[in-house]
Amino acid sequence: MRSTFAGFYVAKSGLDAARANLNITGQNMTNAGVNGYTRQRVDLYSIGTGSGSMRYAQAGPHIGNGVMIGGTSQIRDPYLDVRYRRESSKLGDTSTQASTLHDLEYVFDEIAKDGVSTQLKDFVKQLQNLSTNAGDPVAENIVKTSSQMLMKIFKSCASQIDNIKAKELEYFEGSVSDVNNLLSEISDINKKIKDSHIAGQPALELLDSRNNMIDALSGYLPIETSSKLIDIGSGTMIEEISISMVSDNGDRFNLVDHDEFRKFDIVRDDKQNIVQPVKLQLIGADGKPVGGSDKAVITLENGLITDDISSGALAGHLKMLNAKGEFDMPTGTKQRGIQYYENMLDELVGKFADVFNQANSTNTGPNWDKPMFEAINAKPKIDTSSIPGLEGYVINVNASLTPSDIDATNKVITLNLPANATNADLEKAIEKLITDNSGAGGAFDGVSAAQISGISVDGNALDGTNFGTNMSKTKITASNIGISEKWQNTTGSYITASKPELSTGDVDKDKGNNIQFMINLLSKEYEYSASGSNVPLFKGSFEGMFTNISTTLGIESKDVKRQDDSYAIVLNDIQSQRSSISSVNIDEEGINLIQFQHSLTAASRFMTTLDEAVDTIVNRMGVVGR
Amino acid sequence: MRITTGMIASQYGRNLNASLGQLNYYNNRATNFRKFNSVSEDPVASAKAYSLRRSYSQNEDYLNNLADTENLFQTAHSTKLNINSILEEIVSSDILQAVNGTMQKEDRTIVATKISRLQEALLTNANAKYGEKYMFNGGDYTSQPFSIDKSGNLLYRGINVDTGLHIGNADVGASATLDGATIDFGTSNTDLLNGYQIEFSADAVGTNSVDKTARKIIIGSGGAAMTAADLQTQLQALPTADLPGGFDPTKITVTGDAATGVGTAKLRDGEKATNIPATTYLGGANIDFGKRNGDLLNGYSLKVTEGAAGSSVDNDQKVINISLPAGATKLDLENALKGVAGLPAGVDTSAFSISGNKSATISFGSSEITGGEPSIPKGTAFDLDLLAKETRYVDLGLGLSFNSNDKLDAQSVFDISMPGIAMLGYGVDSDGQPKNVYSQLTQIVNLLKSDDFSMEKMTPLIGKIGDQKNNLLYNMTDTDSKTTFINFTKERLEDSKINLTTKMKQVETVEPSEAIMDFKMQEYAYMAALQMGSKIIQPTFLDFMR
Repeated sequence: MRSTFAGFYVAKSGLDAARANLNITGQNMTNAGVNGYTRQRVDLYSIGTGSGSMRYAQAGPHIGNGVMIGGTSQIRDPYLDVRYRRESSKLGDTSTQASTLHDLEYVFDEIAKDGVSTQLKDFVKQLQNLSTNAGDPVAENIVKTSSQMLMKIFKSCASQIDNIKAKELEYFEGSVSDVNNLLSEISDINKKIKDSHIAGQPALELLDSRNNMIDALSGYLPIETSSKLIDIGSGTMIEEISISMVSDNGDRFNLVDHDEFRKFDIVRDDKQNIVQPVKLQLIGADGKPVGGSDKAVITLENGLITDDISSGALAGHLKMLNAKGEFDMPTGTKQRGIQYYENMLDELVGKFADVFNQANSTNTGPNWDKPMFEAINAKPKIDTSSIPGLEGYVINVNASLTPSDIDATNKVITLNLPANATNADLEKAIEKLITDNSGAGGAFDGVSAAQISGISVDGNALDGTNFGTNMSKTKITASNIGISEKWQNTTGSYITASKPELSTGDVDKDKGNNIQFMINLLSKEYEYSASGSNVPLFKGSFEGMFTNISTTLGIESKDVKRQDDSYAIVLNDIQSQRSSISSVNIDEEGINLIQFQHSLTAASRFMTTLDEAVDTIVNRMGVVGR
Repeated sequence: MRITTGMIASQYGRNLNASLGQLNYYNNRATNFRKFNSVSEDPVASAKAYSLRRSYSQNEDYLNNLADTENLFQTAHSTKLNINSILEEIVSSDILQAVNGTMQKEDRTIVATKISRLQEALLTNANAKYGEKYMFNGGDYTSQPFSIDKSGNLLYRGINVDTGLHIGNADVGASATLDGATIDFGTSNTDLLNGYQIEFSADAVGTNSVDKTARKIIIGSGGAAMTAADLQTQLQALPTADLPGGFDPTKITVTGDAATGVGTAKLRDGEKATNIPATTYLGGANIDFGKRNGDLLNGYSLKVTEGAAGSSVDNDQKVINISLPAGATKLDLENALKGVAGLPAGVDTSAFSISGNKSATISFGSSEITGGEPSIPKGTAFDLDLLAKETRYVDLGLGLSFNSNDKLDAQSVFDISMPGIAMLGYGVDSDGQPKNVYSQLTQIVNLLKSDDFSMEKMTPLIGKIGDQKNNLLYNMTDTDSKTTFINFTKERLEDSKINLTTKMKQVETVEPSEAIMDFKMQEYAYMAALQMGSKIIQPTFLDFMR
């Protein structure tokens, strides 16, 4: 049997519930514009009739005891979060690539501006002019000027690419520190949320801000969140979350484990320079690279995680910074980064210089007697052409007193010289090093003494300040190409106008045949293959090659842009779905306002009704006939 | 689906932005009328555009070459007409027709003078220039083709048009001052005795000897003074067999007297005077490789490095390596150069010299030897046929190509050389008579001036001139047919220019009307979107609540 005043408590619970609902509506309405705010609701439960008894049945009707406020919670679909984060990493990847490729287009896109192809056309034009005016110093000087302009444009392309590379590296460093900040903040907020939960508070606003940060993180990396329930005693279960990065083949690398986090570090050498190709290391909470059987599911070699990052902005940056396309083949991917375009330009420039040096010279190479173009640098040039095995070695010269060294695996020769060393010392040092390694089993086994003494050092003198990397002479690239010193210093005629006929050796009766030959060189098709991997790249004329680079970049850029657009649409779609569930609709809240106001009124009316009923019972009952 | 206010706002924002982007795109299109502004907008069309631009620029080059060639041939044609009318005047009109067997020598001389004048006019025309280029010098535009030597022979680039012999370069004989006597070894002996030492011995006068290995000439003076005449006699009597080949002792002249009959002197300065020596500049030193070495060292590079003194020559790579200790002077370098062994045959290292202060130190480095002109020995025979067929090609878009031996395919280019001797004739006929029209005229002039003039001698000469005149006409038709070909090519190139321009327009540009209409449509769409915006965003349920 229900007590007389029980109804008052039912009415009170109704009033409480209505007020709570009104308040939460207010909270929702005021936060309608807050980014990442998830709409909240009051969890209400209907109160039953009280405990039943095993012994005897309760008589009479069973009426509920009103409404109970269980707490507040968010309206959110976790599945959409997972989808959002997966797509977000793809968008991060493509948008990073799209922006870098867009920058590169400024270098190679000559649809609406003049550049390499225009200057190549001018070069042909001046050669044509020279062919009808052979021997005319004015005509030849114009050819020289035109070549100089061409060299300048090549160099300017190379320096623009360098700038883009530097900028990309800067952005990458920025992104890595962003990621590290996010990871640290997430682990921090995890702790706060757990504390709140233990204290019995829902901490909904903290959850929102954590979701925001995880969303941001998902733009940088392909991540996955997981949660587990922890028993904190007395059977209370509290949720702890962890975040992992997922590689392409499904390996998971733990980044945040509740309140612990790992961070990413760019690998640097002892001089704090970033090591090329750019590598990322995963550093554990103990400050040491993650390795062995750490909490990361997969064992990492010295924490190096570069190759496992498959999407997200970090992956986009890494692709742009490291990938060389065909130059990485056959082991690498076909992904084309900044270095692919840089190498393509270098291939073009190298071929151009080689072909013209040969055309103008009267001897057999590779030491051309009348080169038109050569690598210009302020360092001494070590000519190692007498030893074929030395080709491809990088020669570094350091001011140091430790012994010089050959690293045959990586093809690096390190020459250590005193700071006051001269070119002659440099020559002696490299000759000695090769001699020491020319015995059986050495890196240069079988190289003869004559070959070794054929090594020569010329060009600029070593002066203690111009020590440095890669002093080997041969490779001409876009960044170092220039008019050869010989041509530069020749005031008279330098371009070989006529050449003996190759087959007979007779001086040809065709005057200026060599200039026609040079003109022909510019429309002739060459086969380009990637130096290093020998993967075929392209077959075509010089201008054709440049156009090829330009259109390859154009297609790639268009492709990435299209991908980016479609990922953006997908992401927007998911975001819409999320909003559809979680964001605040003012209309709805307005309706709620009315509804809950009515609820309040109704509960009050119920109270009044009860009051009247009790009043009737207390004051009016038993006064019949009075 | 549940729609929220935020969703509508953000979607509207995105759409409005996209619409503005489109507006910007169409605005660009309507101002520059390009279909695309970057490769990534339309890579396929860009590739086409690049290739069309290449073809267009090539076509422009051909047209430039063609315009140049066309003018050249027009000028050449009118010059040839001039030459023809000069010949016409001599042969057909009153000049030669007036000559008859009974003419007095004075009258004949008048005719001869008249012909000589016309000969000069003919030469002027044959040396005519187009712009800065000599038209009738075959493949070489830079020098004057025809000149006359001292004996009145016509020379084509210094080569006698009848005999094919080169006049060679004017020479300077070696000379020396010996004990007061100045000895000139004669211009024709040039540098044959350069580097030789001449000395007096105490042997009796007339005891003379030549030592070719030690490069010494010893003259017996008996230790007494010798007059210039005596010394000259002794020197002229030197046995030819002992002297270097080609040396003619009779050309030796002596002035002044030998005061004591004792002394030595070094012979020097014998040069082929018009030759230009190869030179280079290295480490502060101007190095002259001697006129007599001509162009033998052209293209070699001189590399001076620091180290123990020494030298080597790599004739394959054309490098002369000199190694000198630190602080070496110009003199050291000069001596080292003179001591270099293994240079190409014919190079005389004693002719190497360095100018300026020779005690100045040099710096080390490498430089190229250039600028030497080839020396042509006197009387070298040239193949006139080859000279007459000399070619010089220009690329008129006939498909310039080279065969596997890197030999130019003559069918793929256009020959613009007009060797003057092909036009005026060269060599001699079966009678041993010159075929060159100028030489023929010279013969006629000489005959007219000579005393034993007769019509029997005259008639065949006139006949030969007539033949040569036909040759000139034949040469002119050749030019004509080439001009026709040029006109034909010009039409073709201009057609393809129009064609290419049209194609480029098709690929790259949009119709203005289309572009402007697109822009207007987009502008309209954007305005509509803006207006819609204010209507979508504004009202909510709250506005309608009591």
